[in-house]
Amino acid sequence: MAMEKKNEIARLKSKIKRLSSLVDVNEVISSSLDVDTILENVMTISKKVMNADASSLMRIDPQTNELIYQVAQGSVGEKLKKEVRLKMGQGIAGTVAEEGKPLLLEDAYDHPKFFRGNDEKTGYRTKSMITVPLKVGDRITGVAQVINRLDGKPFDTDDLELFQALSSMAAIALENARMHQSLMEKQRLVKDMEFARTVQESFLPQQAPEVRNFSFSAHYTPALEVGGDFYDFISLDVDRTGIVIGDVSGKGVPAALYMAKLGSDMRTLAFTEKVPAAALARLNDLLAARSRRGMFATLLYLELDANSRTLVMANAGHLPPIIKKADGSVARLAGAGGAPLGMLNGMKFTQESVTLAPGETVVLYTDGIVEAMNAREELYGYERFEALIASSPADPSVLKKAIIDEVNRFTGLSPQHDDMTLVCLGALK
Amino acid sequence: MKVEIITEKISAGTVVKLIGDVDMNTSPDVRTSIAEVFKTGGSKALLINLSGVRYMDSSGIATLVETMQNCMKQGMKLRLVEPSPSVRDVFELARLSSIFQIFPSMNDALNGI
Repeated sequence: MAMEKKNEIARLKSKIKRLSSLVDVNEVISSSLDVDTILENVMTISKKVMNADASSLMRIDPQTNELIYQVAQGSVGEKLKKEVRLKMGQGIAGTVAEEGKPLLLEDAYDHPKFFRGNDEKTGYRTKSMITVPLKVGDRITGVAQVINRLDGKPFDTDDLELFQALSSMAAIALENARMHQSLMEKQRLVKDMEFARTVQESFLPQQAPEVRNFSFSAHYTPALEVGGDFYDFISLDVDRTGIVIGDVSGKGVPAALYMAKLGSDMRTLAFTEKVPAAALARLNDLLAARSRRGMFATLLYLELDANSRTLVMANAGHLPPIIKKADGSVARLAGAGGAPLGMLNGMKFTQESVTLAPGETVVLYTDGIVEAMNAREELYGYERFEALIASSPADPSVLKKAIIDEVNRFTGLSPQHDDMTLVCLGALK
Repeated sequence: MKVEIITEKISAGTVVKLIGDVDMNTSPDVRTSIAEVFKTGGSKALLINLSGVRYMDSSGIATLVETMQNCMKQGMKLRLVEPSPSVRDVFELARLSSIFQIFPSMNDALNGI
């Protein structure tokens, strides 16, 4: 009787000691963000508490769906780490990873799936073994294993229970590390995009051009960090200024990259081609030759001659400019004189011209303005836009501010759906 | 908003009917379905029925442009059929009629294939 009690006390003491190892593991997990260190320490503790000769942890490589050694402790650990990769269902570890159920073996050699090749290569004799899946919810991320009890006895169900508890903590450490890594990658991407935004902003004119008898004002806000809207002012000579506004299909990074190429090609062609329609025809062919995924751009190119006050306009599928006349009335100018750029090689474009009287202002814009949407999913629309232009002062910078303020008031707290660009140019009185 | 894509093989070619909004979120699905038509092959003409499309943004138009370019490479005819008034407005405003062959009805579109 006394003997039995003694044994019982010894067993409980051992249980307490083993359970307290869980607390140690918990501390290890929260002590570092370095997954290699954490898992190495978790498996060291596991090996010690389980009284095992070897321990290992394999994780599933999401790219190949194979098991690779993350930790391998024991006399042949390093060799295993370098040489072994297991497919799902292959060997004991592959079977546990595939089926998601723990496996307790008194002698591994009795299991048909056990692969003796590693033992033969290393001279090691695997006997008793526990293999448990590492799970996050229903998702299996790897397996953990202990091999051969040091006292020579096979592992029992108490051992299995404890090892499952230890391994569930290793699974948490592995998942934390994965989430930490993905968070770091996201943060890097956010920083890259912020940087890209400043690079893209540098493509836009840093100030309005100074042209005799005319004044200019422009506004640009992308819906995402970077966008596919753009505008440019190009000083062609003392009297002539090129004015560009465009909108690349789609949004975000692809649109921004397309816009960068388009903007620089446009700048070159503004100098080399004689008239706006010819510049658009050349630009169209350049873009169509490198077409990807059907991307295209609508673009309006205007050449202003400050001396004669004429504005020559060529429109590739873009929204028509709106003129505010000296008497306050508004009208739409050059409608599209050709299809958007980059769709099809060999397109032709027409051009129109208008002479601007003193006090007249021309408004160029992208669809992000007229299609701005409020919380009730109503579009800002031409009616409001043209009424506002008619009732606002003709001065380009005042008019620009009035339009942007009103569009922002209209959309309220609704997120911006599309890039918004606005260019106003006015003939001074 | 999802887009429903119905592909039907007829003697004159393949008809792809789109129902819903074709925008930045849904055009990748449209692109995949149309790619299937090219992969299957054996069609002289591709007819895209737009009668059920209420809204199409520039990503949707880009998908049609890519389809047009692929049709040209493969010697296939591309016909856009029965665009709804709102889609027709977008096409007219951007002068897309100089790029695409657009037909008011399926009967008109089938003529001469």
